[in-house]
Amino acid sequence: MTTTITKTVTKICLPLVILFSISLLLAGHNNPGGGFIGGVMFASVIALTYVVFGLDYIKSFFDPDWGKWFAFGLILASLTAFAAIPFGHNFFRSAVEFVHLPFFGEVELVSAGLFDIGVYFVVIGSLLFIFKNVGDDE
Amino acid sequence: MDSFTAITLAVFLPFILAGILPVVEKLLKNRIGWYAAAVAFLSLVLVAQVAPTVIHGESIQGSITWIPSLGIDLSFYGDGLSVMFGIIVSTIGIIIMSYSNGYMSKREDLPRYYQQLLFFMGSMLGMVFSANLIQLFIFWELTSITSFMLIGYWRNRPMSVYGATKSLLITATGGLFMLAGFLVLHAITGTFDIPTILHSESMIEFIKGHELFLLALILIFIGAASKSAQGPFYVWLPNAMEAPTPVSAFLHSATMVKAGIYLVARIHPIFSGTDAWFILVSGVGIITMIMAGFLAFRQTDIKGILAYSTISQLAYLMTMYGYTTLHHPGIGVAAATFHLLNHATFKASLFLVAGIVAHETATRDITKMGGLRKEMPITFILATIGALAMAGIPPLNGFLSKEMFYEASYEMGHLLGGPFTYLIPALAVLGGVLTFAYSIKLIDGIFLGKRPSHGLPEHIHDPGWTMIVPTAFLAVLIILFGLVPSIPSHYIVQPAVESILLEPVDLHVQLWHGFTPALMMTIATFILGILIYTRYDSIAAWQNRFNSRHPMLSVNYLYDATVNNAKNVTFGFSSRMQPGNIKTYVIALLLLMIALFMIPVVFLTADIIPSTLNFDIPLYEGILFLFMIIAGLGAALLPRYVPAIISLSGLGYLVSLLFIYLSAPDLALTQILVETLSTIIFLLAIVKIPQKFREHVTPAVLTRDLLIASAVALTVFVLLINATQGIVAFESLSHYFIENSLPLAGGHNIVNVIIVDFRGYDTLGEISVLCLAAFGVYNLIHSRGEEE
Amino acid sequence: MNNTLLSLTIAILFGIGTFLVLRRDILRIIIGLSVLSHAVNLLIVSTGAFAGTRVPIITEDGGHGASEATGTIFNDVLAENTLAPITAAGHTVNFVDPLVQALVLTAIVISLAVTAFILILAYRIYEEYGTTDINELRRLWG
Repeated sequence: MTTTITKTVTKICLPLVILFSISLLLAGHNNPGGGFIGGVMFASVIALTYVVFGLDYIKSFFDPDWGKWFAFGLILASLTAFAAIPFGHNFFRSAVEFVHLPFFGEVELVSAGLFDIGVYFVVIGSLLFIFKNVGDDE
Repeated sequence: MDSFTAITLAVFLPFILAGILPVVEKLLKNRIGWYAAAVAFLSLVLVAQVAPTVIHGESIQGSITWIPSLGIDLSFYGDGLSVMFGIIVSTIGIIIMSYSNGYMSKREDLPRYYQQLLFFMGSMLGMVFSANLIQLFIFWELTSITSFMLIGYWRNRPMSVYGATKSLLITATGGLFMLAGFLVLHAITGTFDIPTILHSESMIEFIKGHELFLLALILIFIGAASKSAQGPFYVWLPNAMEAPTPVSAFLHSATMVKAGIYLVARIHPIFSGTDAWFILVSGVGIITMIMAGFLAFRQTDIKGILAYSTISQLAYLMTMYGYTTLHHPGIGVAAATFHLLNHATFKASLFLVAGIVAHETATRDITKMGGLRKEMPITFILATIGALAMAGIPPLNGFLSKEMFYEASYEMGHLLGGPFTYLIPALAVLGGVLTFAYSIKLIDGIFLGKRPSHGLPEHIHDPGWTMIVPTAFLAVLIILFGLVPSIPSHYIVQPAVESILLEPVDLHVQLWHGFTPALMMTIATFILGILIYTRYDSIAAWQNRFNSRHPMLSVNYLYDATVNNAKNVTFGFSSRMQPGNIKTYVIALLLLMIALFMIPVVFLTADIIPSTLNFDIPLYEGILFLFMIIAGLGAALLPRYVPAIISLSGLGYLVSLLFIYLSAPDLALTQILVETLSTIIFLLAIVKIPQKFREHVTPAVLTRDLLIASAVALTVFVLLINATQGIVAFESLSHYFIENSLPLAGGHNIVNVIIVDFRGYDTLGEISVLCLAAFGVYNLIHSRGEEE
Repeated sequence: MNNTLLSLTIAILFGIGTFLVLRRDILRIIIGLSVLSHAVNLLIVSTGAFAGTRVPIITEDGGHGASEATGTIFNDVLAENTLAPITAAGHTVNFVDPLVQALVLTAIVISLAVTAFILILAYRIYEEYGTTDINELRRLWG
């Protein structure tokens, strides 16, 4: 797998795919995409770099604790769910707000979007956590 | 703070504050016992807030909606009876937790100990204040469970585990009978609410005339008797003495075993005044009272004597609550309620003394003790006060309530007439005589006489103040209640009696009230008691001989035989039901699936295969299907792992193509990415698993498996073509989502809106599964080599 | 409208998965579970997809704006045994069922995590017992 071509392609793809995954995450409410898809895409491109460059090499300069990622995601998702309660709504009640920003024009803010970001982090974190642990083994 | 809030807090604060105990332990280290005592004190203060209301004969009630569909609320009800129990439980709680500071070694697992004590106290408080039968049952079983943990506190000792299991099995089973009784009561009245039943005379009349009356009474009484160790259920209590002594003092003087008494008092207005009530409650009570008093002689363990005396004393209470006739429904209620309070004081103090003695002499065997009065003078005085109160010596509080017991027995006998005129008072005196004898034995055996030459430590002394002060406090109460009985009777007992009899009562308790029959009975008790005491050892020896000659004549034998046989039977059953062969399970599941799917198809459709089959599809779809089948067959049939997995991932990519054809862009995208990842994981895994095993499939197995597989395939096919034909008419759920996605959630992608918004709760569960899988993998990998 | 060949394909995948699950080699069982999960996902999605044609994303021409979309797309008449999403009344929009897609989307990701878990489980079993034959394992466990 570690031919020059795959390495070069991976280097070029990596930032693009990550950007694409974020755009999938953010676009998810209105277009194909969402936390699950974005998360899996992010996880697969990182997995690709692990495979192409070798886990040890990647770990020497980029070694996040994926466990923290999914913990963060789970907490974020649960907090979004609970956030409705202080506002006097039911558990998991979502809210939509249209905000006018100077450069972007009309922007739609959805509380469910935060939940989706939580999902995104859980998917990334748990899949890569599994990958790293299996790859690390022995 | 209103009364309802006070009660709610009194019940739940012990749970909450016990929950943070591990944190508190970091701050207080070994002194968490004082924290626990403070929590108990807080509960006492909260309960005491309610007391002024109930002294005026009022009751308080309130509820929080809990399960509205079943008519079950979290509701509390406080009247004289519950407040009396609340005060007893929390006061003894304070004493026990303070005492434990001295008793429990610093090396013990103190947070667990105090946590369980507080949980237990909270459950007990919750039970006595429950306004709802189901809630009462829940707290009742919570006391069973927490006492199970407390009795089995020393979980490495087999006897401790045996005792704990025994108490749980008996009391929890009794609790189930009680629940059945509550359901019968619900069937009669249509309500679970206790005050509703209590405050409606017509309903009580209706219950008494109902044909299910006896069934309800018997079922509920079995629950009460099992908890209070009455009748044949007494066997768990002596074994429960394996608990740490403060726990025994708490559970068996004032709380756990009194729960049964509480239940009897609580249902007294509903069931009393009938023959069945008298025969059942008093009958069981009298038999238990005499039997347990008699069996106490044989015990050589101090706590064993106290255990049997507890059974016997509880039987007094049962007997008194059972005294009833049609026109005098509550003859013994005042006596019983007063004795209940007194028993809590003197029995707790005796348990605490037993704890001190065991702590200082390192033994609980009364035959090895004697003459400790010189070395432990303070303990000796405290023990004497407790034991004399139990024996019924004036002017201590035990004397007063025992006089009332005799009085009530005398009255009951005369109301019944016939042979009962003398039989009931005589039996009451017999119970008193036995109590007198073993009470004296406690003092005589431990403190009087000569110190044995060996078997005891050389230097024995009174313990530190942490153990003396709580015990002394109880001794002071014993004397105070005896000398000034108007204080407890007016403020605590009278409201409780009123709430049992449901009418105003004017209660007067005096030390001296002339030469009544009760006084004669007391004098007879003392004379006979002293006579019996001179024969104490020979009676005990006779019991031992009898027991060794007829080992099968005991409830314990029956219990052990039942439990041991149950183990064998259930073990046999489960090993037959679960042979451990995965294939058997899988086949069973598949056959069940086939049955479950095929039955509705066969019964609901005219033709199993509808006539409107549609084979008209574009060529490229047909090619896609063909490739999918080929890839699936490849995954199944290719002999080596790697080609099979490649074939499997090929199938996955084809599936994602199919998703596009099925108008599911999100799915297609996800499927492609997931397939990539899953191929990598498969390959990572099989790198580590060499393909050594090659299954040799015999023709018989092959035929069987192919048959099952074809049956499954056929089932799915039939199901699917029928489903798309619409055999069952119900409205599709998705209309709601499609119509509301934009207006309610502001999203155009309906699939995503469903995931993160409409069904967000599901998604939260699903991402938790992802996290769990990650943890599972981590633990599987890192668990290696731990077993060696 | 239905697609019998698609149903047949899904049924055959079910059969293949079942056959694999009945093997003795743990790894074959896991492959079988993967095939089965593909088949189940397809089954669920296909039940929602036969009638509709449009992707379940509301676009401008497909009735953007709540007022138009509400209550006009489906017209089931249960009394007459007609079922969703049959015809559009006054609208030409026929969405496929979005609910089944949402269910399957999460199922796909979870089945990946679970497959990873059982693969590692199989690997650890092999490491501890030196075999992947379930009959042999049953014998070793006693």
